[in-house]
Amino acid sequence: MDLTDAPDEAEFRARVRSWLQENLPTLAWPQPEDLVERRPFWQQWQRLLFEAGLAGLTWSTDYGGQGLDERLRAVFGEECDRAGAPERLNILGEDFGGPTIAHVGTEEQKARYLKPILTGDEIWCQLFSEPESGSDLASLRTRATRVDGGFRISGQKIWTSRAQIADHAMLLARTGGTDPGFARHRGITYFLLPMDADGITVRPLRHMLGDAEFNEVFLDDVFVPDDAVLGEVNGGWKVAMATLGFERVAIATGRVNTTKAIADIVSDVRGMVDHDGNPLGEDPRVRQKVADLWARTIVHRAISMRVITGADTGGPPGPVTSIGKLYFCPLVEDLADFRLSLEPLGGQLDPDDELNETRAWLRLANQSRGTAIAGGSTYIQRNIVAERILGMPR
Amino acid sequence: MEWKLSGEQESYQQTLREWLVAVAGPEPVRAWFEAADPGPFNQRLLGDGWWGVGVTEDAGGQGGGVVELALTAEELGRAAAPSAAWLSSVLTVPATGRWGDTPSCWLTPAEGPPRVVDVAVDGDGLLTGTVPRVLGASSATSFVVAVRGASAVELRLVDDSDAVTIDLRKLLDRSRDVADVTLRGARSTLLEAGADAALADAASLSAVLVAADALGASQRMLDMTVAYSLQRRQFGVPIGSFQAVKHTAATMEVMVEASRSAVYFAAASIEGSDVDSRLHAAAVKAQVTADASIAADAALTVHGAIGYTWEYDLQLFYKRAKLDEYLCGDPHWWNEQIAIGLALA
Repeated sequence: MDLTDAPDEAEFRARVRSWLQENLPTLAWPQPEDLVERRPFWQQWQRLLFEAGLAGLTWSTDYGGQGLDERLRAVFGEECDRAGAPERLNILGEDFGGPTIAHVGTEEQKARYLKPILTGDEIWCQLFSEPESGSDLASLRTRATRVDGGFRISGQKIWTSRAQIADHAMLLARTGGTDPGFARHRGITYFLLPMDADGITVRPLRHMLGDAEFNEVFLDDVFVPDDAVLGEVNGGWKVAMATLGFERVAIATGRVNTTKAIADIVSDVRGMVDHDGNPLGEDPRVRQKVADLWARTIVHRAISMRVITGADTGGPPGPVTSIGKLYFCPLVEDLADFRLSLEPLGGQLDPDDELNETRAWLRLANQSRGTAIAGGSTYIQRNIVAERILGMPR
Repeated sequence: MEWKLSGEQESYQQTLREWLVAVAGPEPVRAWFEAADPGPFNQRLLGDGWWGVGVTEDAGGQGGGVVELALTAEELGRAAAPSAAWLSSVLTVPATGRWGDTPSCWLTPAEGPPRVVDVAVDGDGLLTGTVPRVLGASSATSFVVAVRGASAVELRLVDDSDAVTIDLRKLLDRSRDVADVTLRGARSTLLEAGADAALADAASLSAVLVAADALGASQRMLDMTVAYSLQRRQFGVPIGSFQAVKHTAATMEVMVEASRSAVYFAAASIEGSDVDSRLHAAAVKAQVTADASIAADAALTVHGAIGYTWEYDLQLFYKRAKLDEYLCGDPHWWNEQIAIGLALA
């Protein structure tokens, strides 16, 4: 147990901190809110990271990464949050898709796909969910039919974040039989799909706050060559589970920096007064709530440290990441909800209202609900914990 | 930055666990509390070499630090072993700076961490007053007390058994004991340690160790709950196959593993004198003991009526967790310490 920076961590932290100080101001701020407009802004940033040797920190040097471990990546994340670095736009490529390709891909696939993720040239999305297949992902019906030299794929995907700006997708489609008795998990193949292929239609869906963040994706007889298969034909379920494991590590270790969120709340509370003009920080109810949230962020920090220490560099993480996700999601909801509750009307102004100064918290409050559903909803995570960790019956 | 027990710590934990299974199973635990005498257990703890692990050799212990103490507390909680004397003795080390073969305790009500109490001290250092609900008092042969002296708070050591009366109180959790302690002109000597620092250090230590105890108790209740849900059949299937039961167990597991992550973290924070170590200790006391109390009720619900009986062992751990929520300061009190530390107002 050691909570302090090891020498290499301290050195890396200092290097990242001064690099950020020097380079962040060179970006074309402000960061655009619209996803399509944000892409070039983010690409400039990602290119800077790549050229500075700060992209793909935990990836193997064979694929343009830095070959560092999760500890240093965590240090990097902390420093980025501290300095207010741009939001990461290609989490799916960097954190889930890339590691999956590095884990099971052929040498050709690694050579083709990994580096452009790091340079920021190619963004990824994940075509898993379907209208009839959410939590029951293995029931998916998008079909890939074998043809000369590859497959033709038809079906519909939904809830696909960032498909409108993505260059490639991780796609699950059914290639095996559907006979009764045939294990349905075994009939699925994992494809790497270029999003500009003929027959793909992307239709944005607006989420609760009105932003077009996720999409419907229609696949109409889309051709992919044989080398688009990641892993084995009919062996895609295992690959998909690896991707979801990587996703949960990213969520468990904090796509949102809860330490920074609670620090912001503490600082805000110190300066705020209630309706009667009394300092908010004297209200016993507020004091209890802030203390409780602060304590929970400490617990979350300890869980993150544990996941980071335990992470097998490169290998797919186990079901323990479900525990991190189950702890993290309600914490972020409660942090954002509490901050909003201090505002008139509970901060429930439309994000477009010009005087709305807490719209970032509003977005976080809603986004955290989305996170609790994405990558396996809370109830599915509890099933995973009960069945795979505690050994209870399926 | 590393969240991981060392190989030595892991093997210590394992060996202690095995020892407790052999020595402090539910039968002897029940026998000790039926006899209202934790003495035999304290003797074994001392005789078999566990007493003093986690206290530095300089202070007369066997070496190790706060992480080792937390591991010990966790295992004692997992066994519902009669550990009041061990805990109360460990908490006196910040005041006395030394560790002996006989138990000691702070004269302070068990519902809070060690604090200044209403005991009168005269010019000769004779102490008079009553302190209610003192943890581990029935085993202790020396007592540390923080009193208001002529000019400042003083820490004093009492080892004058003739002038001390111990009135044992009966706790719902019979695996621990408290007593009302009355001093009638008891002789005492002034301790050198600074009172503020010793009280604060003992408070943080109490927070982490009670949280560790609650962690051990909830782990045990989770293990019992899962095992029972696989064995108990209703509607023709194990009740563990029902999603309501699975989700209850999964929620307990999240609490237990979150608690474990945080308890070891806070122990390491104290050990390493992190600038926020007092707040970390407060955080785990508030979070872990509150969660353990919730987990106890979840375990009871899954067990159904059998869990509600005297004969079934769940009650040992249920009561352990319920007392831990209040022992050495409840979550509300510790949260207020966090709020003070964060300088909210």
